[in-house]
Amino acid sequence: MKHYFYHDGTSKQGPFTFDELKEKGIKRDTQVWYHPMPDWKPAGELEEFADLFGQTPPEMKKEVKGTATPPPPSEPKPPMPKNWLVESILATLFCCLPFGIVGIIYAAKVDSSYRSGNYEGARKASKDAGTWTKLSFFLGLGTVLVYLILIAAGVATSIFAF
Amino acid sequence: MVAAIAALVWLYGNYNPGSHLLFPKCPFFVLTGLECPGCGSQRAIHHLLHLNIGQALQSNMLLVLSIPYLALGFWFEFAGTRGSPKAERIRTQMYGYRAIWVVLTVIVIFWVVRNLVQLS
Repeated sequence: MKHYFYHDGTSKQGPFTFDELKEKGIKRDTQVWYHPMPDWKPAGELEEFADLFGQTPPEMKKEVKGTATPPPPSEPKPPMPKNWLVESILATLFCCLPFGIVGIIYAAKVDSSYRSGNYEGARKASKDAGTWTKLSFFLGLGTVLVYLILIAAGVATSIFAF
Repeated sequence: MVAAIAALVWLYGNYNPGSHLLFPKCPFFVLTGLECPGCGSQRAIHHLLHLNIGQALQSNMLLVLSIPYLALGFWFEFAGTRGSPKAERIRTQMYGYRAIWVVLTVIVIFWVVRNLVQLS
């Protein structure tokens, strides 16, 4: 009669009879020893466990980092949405500093989202960047118009005042 | 579009925004007395149209220096990279995520520094 020991990773357990051991839920890679084995061996390498493991599939081998990478997803890459960078820089320099800067930040977001594969996020950020840039454009245009109207009014007033 | 640009070129070429009331002042400057990164860009355009690079740089250095960058950016935006890997690489490096943060940083630094120079 063999007396089996197994190692649960922290301490050795046993001795057990073969039937007792089968109840312990050992796996293929559980280290097992019995007299007169020179050293511990994974249960999966021992003949008498072949029946026990016959029905359970082998453990998935863990990938060694750096040697095998999963194939990239083959879904088609949509083109990067417009990031409005140039327009928002122009907006910053010519009219509406705060809106232009918000536009630039969204431009960065378009790029980072797109690069990390978040195409939906990139599309959204692109829309936001566009909104801010256009907003600053029309705000600038509006300011100029109001300004010109005020000047015209001022000129008119001064003409009629004299 | 072309007509609007031509009109603007004529306007900024013939009148110096620094000495005419017609051109809007920067609201940030009016309110705070500090210059924003865009202050002086109208004057810079005027001087550029007169090929007066020195005075343009004095009006708004950032604007003048950013013109080649913006022009290339517009080119990429409208003409694309035509499938050229080299152009694609340049675009990624100069207009990609990291570049955008550099642009932002440059704008903010310019903003601070020009006011420090002005105050000192």
